[in-house]
Amino acid sequence: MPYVCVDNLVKKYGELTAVDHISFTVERGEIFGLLGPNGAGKSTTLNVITTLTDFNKGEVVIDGMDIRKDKNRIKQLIGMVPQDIAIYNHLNAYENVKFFASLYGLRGSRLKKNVLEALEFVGLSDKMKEKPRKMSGGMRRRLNIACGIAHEPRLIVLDEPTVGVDTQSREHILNSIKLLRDRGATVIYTSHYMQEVEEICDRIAIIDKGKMIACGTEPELVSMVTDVKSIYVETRLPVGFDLEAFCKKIKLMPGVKGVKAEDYVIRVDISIGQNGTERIIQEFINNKLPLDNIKSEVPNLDTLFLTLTGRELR
Amino acid sequence: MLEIIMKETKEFLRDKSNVFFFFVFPVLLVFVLGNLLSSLDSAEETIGELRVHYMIEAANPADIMAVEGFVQSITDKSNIIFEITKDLDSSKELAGNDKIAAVILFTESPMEIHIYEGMNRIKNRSVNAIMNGFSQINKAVNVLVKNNPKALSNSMNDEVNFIRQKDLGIKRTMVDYYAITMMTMLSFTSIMLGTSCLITERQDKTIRRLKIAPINQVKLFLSKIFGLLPQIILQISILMILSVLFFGANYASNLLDNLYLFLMFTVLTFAVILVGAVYGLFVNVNPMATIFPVLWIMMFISGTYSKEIFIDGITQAMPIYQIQEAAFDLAIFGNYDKANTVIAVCVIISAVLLVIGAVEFSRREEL
Amino acid sequence: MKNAFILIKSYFVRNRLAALLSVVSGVALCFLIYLMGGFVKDASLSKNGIGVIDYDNSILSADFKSYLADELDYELIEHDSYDYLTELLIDKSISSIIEIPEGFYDTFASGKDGNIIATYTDDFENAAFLEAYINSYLSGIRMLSVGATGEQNTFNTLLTEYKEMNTSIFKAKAYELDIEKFSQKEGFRNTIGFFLQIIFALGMIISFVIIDDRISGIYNRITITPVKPVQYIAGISVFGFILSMIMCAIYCGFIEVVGIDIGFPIYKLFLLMMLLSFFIICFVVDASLLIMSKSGVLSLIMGYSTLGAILGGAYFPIDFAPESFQSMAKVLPQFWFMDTVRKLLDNPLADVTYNVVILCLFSILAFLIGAVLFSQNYKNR
Repeated sequence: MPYVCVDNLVKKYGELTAVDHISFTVERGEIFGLLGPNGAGKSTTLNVITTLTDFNKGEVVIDGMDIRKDKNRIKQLIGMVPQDIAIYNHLNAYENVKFFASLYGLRGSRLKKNVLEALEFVGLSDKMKEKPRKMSGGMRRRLNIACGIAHEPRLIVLDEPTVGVDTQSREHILNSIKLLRDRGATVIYTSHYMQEVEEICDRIAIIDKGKMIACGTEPELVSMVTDVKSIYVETRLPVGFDLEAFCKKIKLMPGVKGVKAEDYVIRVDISIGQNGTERIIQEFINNKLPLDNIKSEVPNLDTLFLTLTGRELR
Repeated sequence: MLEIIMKETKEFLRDKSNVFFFFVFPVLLVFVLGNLLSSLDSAEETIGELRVHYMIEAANPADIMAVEGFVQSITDKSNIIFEITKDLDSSKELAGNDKIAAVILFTESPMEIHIYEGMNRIKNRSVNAIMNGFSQINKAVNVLVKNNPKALSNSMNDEVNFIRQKDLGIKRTMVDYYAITMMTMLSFTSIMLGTSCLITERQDKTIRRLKIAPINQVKLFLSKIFGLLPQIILQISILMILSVLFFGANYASNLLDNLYLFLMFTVLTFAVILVGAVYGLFVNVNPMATIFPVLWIMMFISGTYSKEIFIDGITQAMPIYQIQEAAFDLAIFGNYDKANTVIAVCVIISAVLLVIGAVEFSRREEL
Repeated sequence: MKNAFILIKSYFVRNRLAALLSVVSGVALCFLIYLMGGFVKDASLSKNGIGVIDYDNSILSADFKSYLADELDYELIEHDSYDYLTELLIDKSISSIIEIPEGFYDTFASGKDGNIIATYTDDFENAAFLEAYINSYLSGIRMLSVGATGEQNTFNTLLTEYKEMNTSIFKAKAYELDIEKFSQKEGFRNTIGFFLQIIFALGMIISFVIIDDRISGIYNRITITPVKPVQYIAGISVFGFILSMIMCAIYCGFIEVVGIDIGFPIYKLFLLMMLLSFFIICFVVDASLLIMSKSGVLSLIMGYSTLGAILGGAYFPIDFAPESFQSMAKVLPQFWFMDTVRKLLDNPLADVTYNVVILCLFSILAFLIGAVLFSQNYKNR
């Protein structure tokens, strides 16, 4: 049974339909990515799931509990890491995490243990006594995460947690999220960085204008757009080399969709899933053609996103 | 709930501007105002030199003698100078230009005294008092001259004070006055605490975390409000203690009355904070721009900064004035009536606002 | 210059509320002239109330009460209950309580000195004059008492003649008093002190703009453009100066147009207000450069403006303050401003050069501190 089940969710603000019959599921223990341009309805969807906002129609079930009937029990399961850093500037890191953890009923030694673990988890053990204003942006982001996970939530919602952080901090955050998943948490993740989503998400949903337009694993989504990848080989042709015959031969290989030669670069389009790259390279070697440079271009999430949602600025 | 209260208290005490505004500033004002105006404990004005021009147009020689005798006796006093004038209009002009205090014309028979007053109100009153004294003595002299002239020499002896002053039983110095009014100011400026308790959470974006936590929303709101209670108690205690210890202020005369005064201000401050919190729920504008100017004007009209300010009809309508009067009544006379009224009204307001605030807070999805 | 002008224009666009507030402040000051003037007028025209308890109910006590009410124009509130009158006394509805004791008449009639029991609080002025009037009356009665040599009938006869005798006192002003103009002038005298706090409130807006710019990074963004940092600071200062000028212009314009005679030329008042405004703008800019947080700046400005206004004599003259306070006040420009205004009010031809020079020095000092702080800040970025 899915851990999160959103069925035909509708949320309206007056005349505006922010979420228009969205349905998706999130399996237990998976990292689910939610993508969409600005104003697509991601935040509204997250607000509904985290019980911040009510909704007009549909059903949201988390861990078998209806969100409208078992709101308080569901709240106990959820940890949120908002996009805006939501921490108290006059409390130090320890006090911040402790306060938010205590709101979930943690007390005494268990509270202390969880707080210390959360800080260690995000790499802020040595900054426990520091106040947020003395921290860098990356550290504040990590503290933001610690505040959302200290109570060991089963469902963690992260809304663009790596905005404005350096590479090291981002790596740390992404690894931490994977670790949370490995420990059994279910994660809903939103981001504008496609590489992140590709790297950590098990499944991805793309929302636009309040509607779900695609949902699946990354290969499934990419294949919706195209199933061909391109291999670019830069070479030098010997004098008198029959390029046309060579290209014809390559084209007859299984999975090859097209071959095109331009200047010193030969482009071969091959179906994704076909392991044709080695055979093509071998053919070059067999024909004694030097391999000056080899490049492979695979249609990715960026391409998918732009194709599905368009290139217009929102 | 305890965690929220602890958090609110820590946040409050770690913000240096709060420490200044709610602890240091009121104490400083008690000190400055109380000592600045300490001389008003014994006197409000100095009269200074009283220079008067006079002219005698009276025909009756007895009247002329009486006036001359009076002028002689009065001029013996060091700061009162009576100078005869021949030009009434010039003297009036001098009085109009504040060069002399007044011009007096003794005329007609029976004698009439015409006083042409100058610019200075206190000097005018002084001249009036002096001439009134002359008038009363002159009447008595005339009566005795007619009926028993021999008694005249016996009757005009040293000055006697016919007034026995009764002590109201109160001694209220300027420090005492400002100790109470600054406590009132502290209570009302705490409205900022109420507004900021939700506005700050909104600005820091932490309100979302609080809203999704598994706490009953009503309990959350109440925790936020009651979380300000330790600060209220601390503020009032510190002001009372420091004013008494360092500036010699006197509140009530016994411990019970002082405790009741403390209770009254605590309840008042709590009610005011609730007003601020409910305001903060509905209005997102910086309260400094909206509330503070109104508050300042109300305090000014209520005599918080100066006991001389009393605009009949307006001052009495100010709740701040009524609260101050209740505090004075309790502190000086040990009367509980007005203080009880204040407490009762504040409790009712608090109860109503707690309900409104809790309902609105839990109703709101996003703040 | 052009850059500074662009900045000034942008401040007005970003801070329309500030411009509105400066207009509202000017209007509020004008309104306060009437409010305070009315207060002074009512105070000068209103009757003084005193509470009276007559335990004697004799012809002497009746004559005494008549003396207070008819001759001296006091408003007598007669009541049997001392507690009731005490309430009125504390509420300042009356200035004192007079008790005419039992045997008042008999005492004087028998040739002895009687007395009146008076209760006051801290209304020393009214208490002093009331005492003087009571003593004057009873001095006369005492003379009659001595003259009667203990004979009650003689005393009654003398008292009757005393009552019939009248040395009338007529009061008039030695000058033409236009009560409206009087109240307006007094209104001005009592409201100019409010200017000190209102101008600081406008200054606070300037400090918030600077701090907001620094926190949000706009300041850094501006400094990497061709706009020089000094142009930025000059721009914001001029913006603040214009805001205060709007307020001062409304206030002074109102005084001029309505024809309130403040006793000295209006241009002097305007220049004085602008000079103080310049100091205050420099002060708030200094505060914003020194302190990075809004709450810190707010504390500093509120504390300085309130204490400065009190010690400077904005609300009451500090002539009666202890020497130490009077000395302390002299380090505040607010004191010199109020002192200048009071001197000019008392004497339009008063020499205030010294005061103006000191105010200028304060302004220059604030400006120089700002320049130093600013250049340090800029270098340490």
